[in-house]
Amino acid sequence: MTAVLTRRPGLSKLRTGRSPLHLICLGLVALVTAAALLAPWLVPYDPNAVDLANALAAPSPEHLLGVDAAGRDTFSRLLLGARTSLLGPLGVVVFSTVAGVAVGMAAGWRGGWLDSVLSRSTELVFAFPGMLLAILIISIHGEGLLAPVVALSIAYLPYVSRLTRSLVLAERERPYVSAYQVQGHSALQICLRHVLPNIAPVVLAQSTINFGYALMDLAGLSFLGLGVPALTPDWGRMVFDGQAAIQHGYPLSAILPCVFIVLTVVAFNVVGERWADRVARRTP
Amino acid sequence: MPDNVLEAVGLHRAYGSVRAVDDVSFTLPEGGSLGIVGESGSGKTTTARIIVGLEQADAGDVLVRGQARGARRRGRAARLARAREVQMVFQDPLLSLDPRASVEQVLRETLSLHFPDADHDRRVRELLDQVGLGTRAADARPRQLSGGQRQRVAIARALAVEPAVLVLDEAVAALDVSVQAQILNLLADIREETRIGYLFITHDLGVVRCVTDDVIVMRRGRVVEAGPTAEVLAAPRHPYTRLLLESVPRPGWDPEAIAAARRAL
Repeated sequence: MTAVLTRRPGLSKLRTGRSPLHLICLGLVALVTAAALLAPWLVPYDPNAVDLANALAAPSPEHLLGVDAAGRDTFSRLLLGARTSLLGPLGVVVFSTVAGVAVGMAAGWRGGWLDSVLSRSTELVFAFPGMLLAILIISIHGEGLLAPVVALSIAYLPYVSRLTRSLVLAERERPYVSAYQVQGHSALQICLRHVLPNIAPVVLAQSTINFGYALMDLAGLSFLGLGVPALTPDWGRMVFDGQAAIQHGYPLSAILPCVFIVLTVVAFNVVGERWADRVARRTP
Repeated sequence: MPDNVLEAVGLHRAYGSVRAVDDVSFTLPEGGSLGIVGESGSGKTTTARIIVGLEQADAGDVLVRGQARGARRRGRAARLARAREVQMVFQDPLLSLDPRASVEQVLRETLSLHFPDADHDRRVRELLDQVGLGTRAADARPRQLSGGQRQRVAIARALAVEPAVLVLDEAVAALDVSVQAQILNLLADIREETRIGYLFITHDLGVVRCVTDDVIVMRRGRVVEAGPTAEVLAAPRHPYTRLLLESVPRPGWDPEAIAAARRAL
């Protein structure tokens, strides 16, 4: 199978041949996910508790990673920020995968005019940069996590639908699909019970890679002050809030979320790519 | 003629300017076995795909028990009725079975589609028994089985539908010679038990000799010779049939003379 996953230029150079990198990335993904899940029980302080007397304090036993310009504990905000920062991309990935698979499968299976209509309209979405589309939708819809998630889902849908379409085109030529047709199974049954499970690993690998990109885009949006409401702890938002502090020589509260964004994106990329490699080797 | 289970009348199918199937007609009597022989590209597989409904004929009719099979129709009942007319066994069982489904799942899925009320446990055992697979094979996936076992599963799956006609498209071509013989014997036994009609698509004259009553020889989409298998193989009338017979390797075989004869034809 020659499924080509879509990766961004800079990140496509990451090779996953060496297994220590893969293991480290897998560990990182697990760690970040665990942190996001367990954050409410782990945080030492209320992430929005303002302690102006301590503003911009350096790391200390009370505040492990210091305090930001508004006097909020950076460690607590990082932990709870993982929730928002991962929940957003998760929404994007779930929606874009479900809708993209549906669109791609319909296009690949039925072909003809339906394929033309669906493929051209998803290509139209490709023409818009995802961020721009998101900014447009947010400016209409207003603040909140939902608008950017929906916008980015639409922006990411073509990646999934195009991949699914090509996989379905290859899969439907395989004799087992003909065999099920001869047996009298309906097209929908064949698609859902047989074609979908057989192409799912590749699609999910693409979705894993998309997760990293969606995280990056959502962090970018919240850095611009779009999307996430002001007080919600979020990595992109934290970078924005910490800008001023960097100029004053207290970089920790802005640099740390940056580091986490980069590491998480890279980790998801490596894990997704590795997964796709293994799946490709398994199929005949 | 009501005693013909399958009848093809004037089938035509063209791909661009290539006439893959050109005025092909034949009949298959109830419980009979008909071979379609020809080399690659002679249109025999296209004919088979038209019979089962994977391809549409440009012209001509396929009749099952005197009823036209017609175009693929929508609706569950019509689809299932079509499936019960003709079933197919494909050349490569590894590719024609879903790699993720176990043998039992494959059979159960077909049974629950066609016979939702039947006793599936009993029927699965019967089918496995009928194709000579033990119940131990039931949990295996296609990849874990041998080529012969896989083809047995594919045959069991086709039989599960209880069709009137079974189309076997090069069904033994991908198997070892000894396994071929086993599968051919199995098919002969099944025909004796169930009175199912066979349509054998093959390039192998040995297979034709073993398991068919009648044979038609196809070349470039046309039927060049038809008749009872024994007669056709013993006294071929068309030069192409003679050429096919001479092409079978045996002592004193002269490939160069055959190549020359092929060019002359």
